[in-house]
Amino acid sequence: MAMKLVELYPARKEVISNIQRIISSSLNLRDIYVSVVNELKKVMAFDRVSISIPIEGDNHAITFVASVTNTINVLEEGKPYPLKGSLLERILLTGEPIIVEDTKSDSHSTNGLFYKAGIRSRLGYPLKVRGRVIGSVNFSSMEPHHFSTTQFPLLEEICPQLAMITENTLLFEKIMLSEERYKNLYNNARLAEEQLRQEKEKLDYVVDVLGIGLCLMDRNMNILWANANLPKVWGLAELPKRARCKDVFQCTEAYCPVAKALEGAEGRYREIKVLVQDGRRRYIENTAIPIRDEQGEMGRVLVLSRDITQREKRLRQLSLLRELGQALHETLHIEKLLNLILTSVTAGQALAFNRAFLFLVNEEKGSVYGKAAVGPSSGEEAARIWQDVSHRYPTLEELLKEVMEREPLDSPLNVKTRLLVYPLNKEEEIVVRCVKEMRSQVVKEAATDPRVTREFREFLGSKEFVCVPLVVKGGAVGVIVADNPYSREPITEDHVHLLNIFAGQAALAIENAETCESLEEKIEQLRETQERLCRSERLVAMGEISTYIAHEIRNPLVTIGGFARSIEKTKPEEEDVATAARIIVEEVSRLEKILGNIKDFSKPQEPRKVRVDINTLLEDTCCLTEGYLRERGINLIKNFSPGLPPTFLDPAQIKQVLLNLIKNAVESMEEGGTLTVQSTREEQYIRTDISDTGQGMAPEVMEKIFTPFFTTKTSGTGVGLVVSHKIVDDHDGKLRVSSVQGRGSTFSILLPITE
Amino acid sequence: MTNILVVEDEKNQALLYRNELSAEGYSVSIARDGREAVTMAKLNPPDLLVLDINMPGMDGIEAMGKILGENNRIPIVINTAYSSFKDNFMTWSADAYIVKSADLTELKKAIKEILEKRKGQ
Ligand SMILES: Nc1ncnc2c1ncn2[C@@H]1O[C@H](COP(=O)(O)OP(=O)(O)O)[C@@H](O)[C@H]1O
Repeated sequence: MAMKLVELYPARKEVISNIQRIISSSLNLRDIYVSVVNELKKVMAFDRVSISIPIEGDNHAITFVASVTNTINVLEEGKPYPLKGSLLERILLTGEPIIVEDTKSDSHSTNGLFYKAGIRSRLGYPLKVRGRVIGSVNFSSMEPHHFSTTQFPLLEEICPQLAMITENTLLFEKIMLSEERYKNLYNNARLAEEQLRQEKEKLDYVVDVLGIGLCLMDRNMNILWANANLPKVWGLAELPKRARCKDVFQCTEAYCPVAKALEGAEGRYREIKVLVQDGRRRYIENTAIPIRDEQGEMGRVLVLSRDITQREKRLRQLSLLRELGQALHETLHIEKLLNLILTSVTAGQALAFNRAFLFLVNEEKGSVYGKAAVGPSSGEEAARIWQDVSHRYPTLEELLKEVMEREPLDSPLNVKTRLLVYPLNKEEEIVVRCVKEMRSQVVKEAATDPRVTREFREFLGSKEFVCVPLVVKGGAVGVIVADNPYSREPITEDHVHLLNIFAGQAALAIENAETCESLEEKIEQLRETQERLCRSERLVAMGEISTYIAHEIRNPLVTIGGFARSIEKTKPEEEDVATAARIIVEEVSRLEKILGNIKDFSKPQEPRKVRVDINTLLEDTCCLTEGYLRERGINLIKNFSPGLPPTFLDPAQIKQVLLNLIKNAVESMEEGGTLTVQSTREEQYIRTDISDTGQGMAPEVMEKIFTPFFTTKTSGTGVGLVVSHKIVDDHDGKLRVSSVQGRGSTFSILLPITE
Repeated sequence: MTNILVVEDEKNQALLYRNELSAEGYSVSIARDGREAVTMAKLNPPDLLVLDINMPGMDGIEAMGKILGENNRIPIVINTAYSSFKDNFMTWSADAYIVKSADLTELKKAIKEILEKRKGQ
């Protein structure tokens, strides 16, 4: 075994560093995987390899990527197959690698399939991320008994990386998925806008006729007649009779529909005019219709004027919302995103609420907490802000900049909001209710509404408000609360509807940002493992070099120094020779001392003893072997004494002893039988008995079982018990045997109790 | 006379062991590699084996396994330039593990002790 490893070293180092390079150059699993497989082929022989991943909440698994090096094609990529009976199932259960020596004799259900396809032996290795098995990498060969545990050290170094990439890829897929959902929502918003436009257009003719301003102008654009609506629509104090249109409007625009109409062509000429009145923007749509006189001359123009502020506002709102949605989608930085969300809710041209509050759910702590708030802190501040209304719509960037500047993070409103925390079980709080029911809550009369607690009422201080949940994948991640305490504008169904559409987008954006954050974390972890791998690679190389040098130098030193000593011992006559020999001897021993100080990096580790409850360790070990025992028709009896004191031991080493003993016991029960694992206290020791009902041992055999390389098995190595004995010795413990030929054997491990 | 088989591939070093151990009164034979050692041990089982272990081929360890397999009563002293093999379970079965040194006192002491212990058994 050791020999194979040594031979592998140079190739293996190269492979590991190649794999590292591959991993850092791409995030596409398929690319990486194909290259990794090619690297693996350099140091391992196999006919087929695949990565299997269990499907969440389903008892199926999916073969994520499969590579076939010949015509074998048993399981297709991407096709779910039942987890039951698969290698992956066993690996998920034990967390340990598995070798199927021969699919012909192994009773596993999927093995029959493999056998038919010409695959004879298999090796499954777990892919673990922070100790959790996320899947497995499976190698197959057309020859039986093709794989062995000597391949484990190599896989041990590569699989953590492979696992990390696999996990990352799954994460990426998740992001793609939510992006898809996001796009759907976005399209729905667009559809709503279009419908609205059509609806409005229809209604315009029916409803708006009542509010239409009408006037008749002559060819010089003097107003001959006007209806009573006109001053209202145009924002004038009185009827502009006999006045020149240009004087009334003080037009500066080059395009004039009236002038166009007078030019003679039939048809309607339309324009939209923006008026600023009382600090508010108003939109007036003017339609000019040319009218012919009795002679057929183009003498007059009828002008229809409508106030379309409401309609325009709504359209503008919707397109802004769309833009905001886009912006949300592009922002993956969570803080910036939250700010953007709140801004959108309060921006005058978007959702136009006076104030907005954001609450987020903390699943770990089981609470909903105030995250941020925007909006003026007082009526005066509000008035000041609204005075400043320009003729032009601000761009999205200007809007955001404006809000960022206007709303310092330490605004009183923001600080007050951040102090709020409600436990998720306090359902009488409207914010919690909103999270739980995942439905918006509109409150018209805060003072009398039973859903509003006094605390929350006093916090908000407004009569009317709305709570909208931020819902993703059937769960709420937070709540937006919005109100209009300064403008006192009532919250209509329309408002709530828009806010809901927006909240859907915001929730997805938050989820994406969070996924991205965890992805960044993952990438960081990946970087760390890579670094660790580099380090260990360096250490191996250093160890090899220093060991090599020590050896190359020590050998000639032995010869030189040894002969010098021989000369010294002959007590040479000539003083010069004696002195020379002495000097050589001294210098050689000095060099040897230096060599002795060179650290041996390749040395295996000392046992690392930790406080362990033996029963837990036994349980773990039994768990590992359960499948193995079942396959061989062996019944396992566990008999653990409760309340044993903890012991100090190296769990990995003792586990190895237990596995050795269990393996021997199983091998002695070819026809099946019962394996008993029992723990008890014996004076100052904890005793673990591994008993079998197997063939037992003859006295001559028992005498030799601790001799290295002694074995009675054709494929035995005769080192299992020697190793076990050495480990138990290192723990100041004892290993005892008793056996009756034909009846069975008991091996007892005694480990000292250290208080 | 007590027969010691030294497995050592460096000619000059082998000469050193032959000289020094003969001076102690042992009959010394030299094998240049593991395979030679196995054959020699079969033909003429020594009373003790001094074994060098070389990293590249590890043939010392292999030889030890084989010789022990044939006759595991032969005591073995591992004499190597590598200190790292001390922790290799393969070498636990050796009776002594000595890191090579120009000063052969330790090696000689180990040989003597092992042979005395065997005689006492
Ligand atoms: N539970 C047992 N029942 C019968 N014989 C056993 C048992 N455990 C060990 N032995 C004997 O001890 C020998 C040495 O065991 P071990 O050192 O583990 O090496 P291996 O299992 O490779 O032969 C085995 O070949 C077998 O003869």
